[in-house]
Amino acid sequence: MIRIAFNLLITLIFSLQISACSPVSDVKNTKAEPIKISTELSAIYQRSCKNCHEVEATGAPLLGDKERWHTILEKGMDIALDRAMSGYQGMPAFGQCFECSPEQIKALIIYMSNPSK
Amino acid sequence: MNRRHLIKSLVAGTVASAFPLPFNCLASNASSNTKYPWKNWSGNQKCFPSQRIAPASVGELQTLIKTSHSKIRAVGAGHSFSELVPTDETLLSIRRLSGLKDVNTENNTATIYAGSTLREIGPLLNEQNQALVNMPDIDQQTLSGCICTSTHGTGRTLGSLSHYVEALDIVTASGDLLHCSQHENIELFKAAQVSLGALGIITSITMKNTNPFKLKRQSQWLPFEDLLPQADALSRANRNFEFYYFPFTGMALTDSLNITTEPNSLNEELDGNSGIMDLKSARDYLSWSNKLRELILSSYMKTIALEESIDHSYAIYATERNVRFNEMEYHLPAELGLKALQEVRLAVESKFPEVFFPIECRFIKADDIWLSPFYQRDTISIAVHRYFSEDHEPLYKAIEPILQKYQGRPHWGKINTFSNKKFEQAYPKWKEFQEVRQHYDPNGKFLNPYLIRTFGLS
Repeated sequence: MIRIAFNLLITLIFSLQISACSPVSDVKNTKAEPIKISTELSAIYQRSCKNCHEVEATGAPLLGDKERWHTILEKGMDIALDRAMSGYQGMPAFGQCFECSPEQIKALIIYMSNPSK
Repeated sequence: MNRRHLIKSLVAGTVASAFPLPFNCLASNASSNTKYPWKNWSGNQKCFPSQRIAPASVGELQTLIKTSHSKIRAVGAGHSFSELVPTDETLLSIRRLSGLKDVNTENNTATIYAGSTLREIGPLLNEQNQALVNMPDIDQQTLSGCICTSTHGTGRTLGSLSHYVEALDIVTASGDLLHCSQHENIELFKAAQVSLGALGIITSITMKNTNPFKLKRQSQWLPFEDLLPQADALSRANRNFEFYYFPFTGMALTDSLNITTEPNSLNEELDGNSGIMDLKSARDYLSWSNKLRELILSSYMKTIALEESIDHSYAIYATERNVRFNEMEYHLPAELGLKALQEVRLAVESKFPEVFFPIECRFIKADDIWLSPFYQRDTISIAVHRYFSEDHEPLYKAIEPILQKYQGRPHWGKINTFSNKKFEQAYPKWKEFQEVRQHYDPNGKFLNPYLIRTFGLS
């Protein structure tokens, strides 16, 4: 009985949260070619991006999550790049990549938004 | 939901890496004069270094150190909550120095580049028929960050990661690359096994390993009052044993790991990350009645059956910690730890109804490393967490005196207010460490304001 009460409570809480926060975004079907990256960029991705951008619970936009990336990039690459370079919410500046150039960060954003399989 | 992730992910320890490396070169992402910020995982430590650099080779690192006129701090994965990393001068990432350097099958040792993360090391060693003897419960830290801060897992007969260091290479303030071990540059070795990045930049570490093994994890919920009398025995009966006390529930989650040859399996229902947010929700909605909060949460926890999972050791130790938090952890004499824990519980539950993160309790074997918090004493560690966006100071201000009263030594990578005088009193080899530091870094190239204060330097 108590477990049921707990589950109901949590369900109620989550329902309230979800109804209050769910983003409604229109997804654009991108026909752009999936992006491939160089070995160097791939190494940077493995070192500095993967640990967050492939783990849903981090809240980071995930590799290949076109809907989420579309929402981000709709505001402009400049904003996305600035946030990646300066740090934004849980993301540290440059994803802790000290050797990355802005161009490389930009390339990684584009890659994550539409990676080749 | 996966429960191990649920409650375990939340907690635990951390520490990852903070240790200093060097400076101004090609390895920087700032081609202009723009300064970019740095912050740690939880966001409680921040700085604006004048340079951010990441040398790609040991040679490049040596050149950087030799030619730099700037102070240099190194950073590993940014999982330290203390002020070890922040600097307004040069911040150096060691992440590009990663991978296996050498393997000795006869002695079961492996030399690993310092910027390798524990997550990377597990599979690499497995391919070489080796495994780390013990690991912490997150694996995103760099090996050097772990060594520099005496990062530990749990296990009454198992030491911290520094305990298994056989030798290491370090670039000192002169730019020289020195090798040290129990047989070579012995004083430097004793100091460098836990050195806070204050002696130089460690480039590679030789670890004493074991052959690969599998672990079976068993997680079980128990009333805290039932667990307490058994905790010492459980810590002796299991290879790795720890538990979490959940404030305002009366319940604890035990976590036991033992070596097995059984096939891999996974039997976990709850996810630690969503689980911690469930606890937060329970706090948010039930804070008007802690009794009801305890009734609902404990009743639920009692319905959760024993969970088990089996896998390679390196895959079992670590959990994802994606709900950010800040952390204070103290290391207490083993015989005093559980008594202190009860006092901590009382303080939390009488004054801090906002707390929902569990309190973690682990067991660590004594060692003889100069700046190890486990120096010459078997230890129980108590870690208190606070959600990253909520003010941790009032809680820590109330808890820290309790942990200090029981002779606690703070974790080097976690929040504490220990003074130079207290460190000096708590560490019998403090003076010896300072002499070695002064010898290898007379001008304080690897110091930041926190270390200057901590070492009592002007």
